[in-house]
Amino acid sequence: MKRSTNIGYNLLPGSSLLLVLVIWEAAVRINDIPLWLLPAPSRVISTIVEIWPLLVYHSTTTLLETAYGFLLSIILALLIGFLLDYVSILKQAVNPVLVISQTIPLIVLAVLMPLWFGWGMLPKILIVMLVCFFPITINLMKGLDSSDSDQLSLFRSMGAGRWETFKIVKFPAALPAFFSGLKISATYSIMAAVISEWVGAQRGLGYFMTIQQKSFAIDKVLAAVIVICVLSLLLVKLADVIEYVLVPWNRRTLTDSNN
Amino acid sequence: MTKIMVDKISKTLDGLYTLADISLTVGENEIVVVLGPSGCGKSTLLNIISGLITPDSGTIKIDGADYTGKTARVSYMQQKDLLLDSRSILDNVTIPLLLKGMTKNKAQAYARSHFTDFGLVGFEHYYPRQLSGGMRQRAALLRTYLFASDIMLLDEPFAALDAITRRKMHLWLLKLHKHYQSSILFVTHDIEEALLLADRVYILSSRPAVIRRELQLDQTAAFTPDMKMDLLAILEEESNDHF
Repeated sequence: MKRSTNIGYNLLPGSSLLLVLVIWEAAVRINDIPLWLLPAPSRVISTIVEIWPLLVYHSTTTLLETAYGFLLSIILALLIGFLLDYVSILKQAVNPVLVISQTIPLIVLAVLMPLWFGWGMLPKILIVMLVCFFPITINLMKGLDSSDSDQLSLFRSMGAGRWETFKIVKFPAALPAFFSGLKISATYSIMAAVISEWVGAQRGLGYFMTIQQKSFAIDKVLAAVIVICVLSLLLVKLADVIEYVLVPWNRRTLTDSNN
Repeated sequence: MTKIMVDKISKTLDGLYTLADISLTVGENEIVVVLGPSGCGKSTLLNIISGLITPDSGTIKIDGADYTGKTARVSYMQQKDLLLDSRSILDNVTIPLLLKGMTKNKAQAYARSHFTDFGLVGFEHYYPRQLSGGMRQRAALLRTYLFASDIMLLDEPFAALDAITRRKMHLWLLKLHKHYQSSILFVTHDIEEALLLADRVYILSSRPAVIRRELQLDQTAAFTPDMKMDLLAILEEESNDHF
């Protein structure tokens, strides 16, 4: 019984994806849809192979912007998280600013950023940061607040200082939430870089897509989309792996006590 | 010799008059049980003795010195085991030693020497969530013991366990107490537990708590049903407002 459900879980996502591709392929062929309108998946795949070096060239730029933005947002989130935990009165002051920063339409900022910061990498990194730091910060703050108050008073009764309590109790307890935030950010991060490249850049997957879209090379646009999807998934997987290493006590494979 | 002296403690907590003029003592190597109905302020009393909260009036003396409102002298175990999920059992129980400035190697060696008595051998590197409830409580008790072995405050430490495990823990605690010299102040609302463990029992009234009766128990004598009925009657009377 358990075995069959496991197989079901493993096959279901793959088969539903395959079904969509088959319908898409069939629809394009039966209706003879022109290439500039919608290429068949088989065509998109052969295009990926054909323009592979070009895709690699632009991906490296996008990945670099994403990596910088992502790392900086982790650092920013940790700083904000620690600071707000230490000076709890700041929480009320900073929270609205954090939320408002997320309500600004991303596309507007992507257009305005180059006016302020030029056409290089910086505005792209800033957009990635703006998208990524929020889920990480919010989850980290939630995690830091999640400590049991009895746990904290136990440490107080043992004479532990504030920093020791933070290091031993609060921060480790916040790590699982922190990684949830990290994974949400990882899914959006590459998309954020692509959006800012779309508005204006000299390199990168977003830039590549605008060029191809203008010449109706939809197969190349979709090829880039697939690369973006794959890279985003890999980034989430990377966060998973890091969590597995850094948060060994939360592994799903740990057997729970059965009392 | 008197280890803990609670002298005329009163406390109003969140507008509720909780403790009214409580005085009690715990002698050296003695197990004293404070028995009282739920919500009568037993935990508040332990919080005051541990120094976590300050009483409105009265003093706490430990070994004759004033410890009112001062933490980090006695060890204190609460109902929940409060083990850290993020640390192995060994790393959990060594926390108090590390906080006192012992090096990691020394702390681990010292803690390991107690693992047999506390029934934790072989589980040093397990995480708390991999252990059963009884083992978790024993680990918490070891952490408590390693913080301050001479005086331990235990707040219904076995309340969350099933009946059989709880009884095993009682016997184990009594056995342990024979060769570890500790003064224990044990809080519970379970009469059986009180009679089984205590050298002396204080019975508290419902809020505001006063001491209704002090009972010296001779461990060798059997408890007469009359004694139990007596205690039950007091507890029942005091619990009435909470039904």
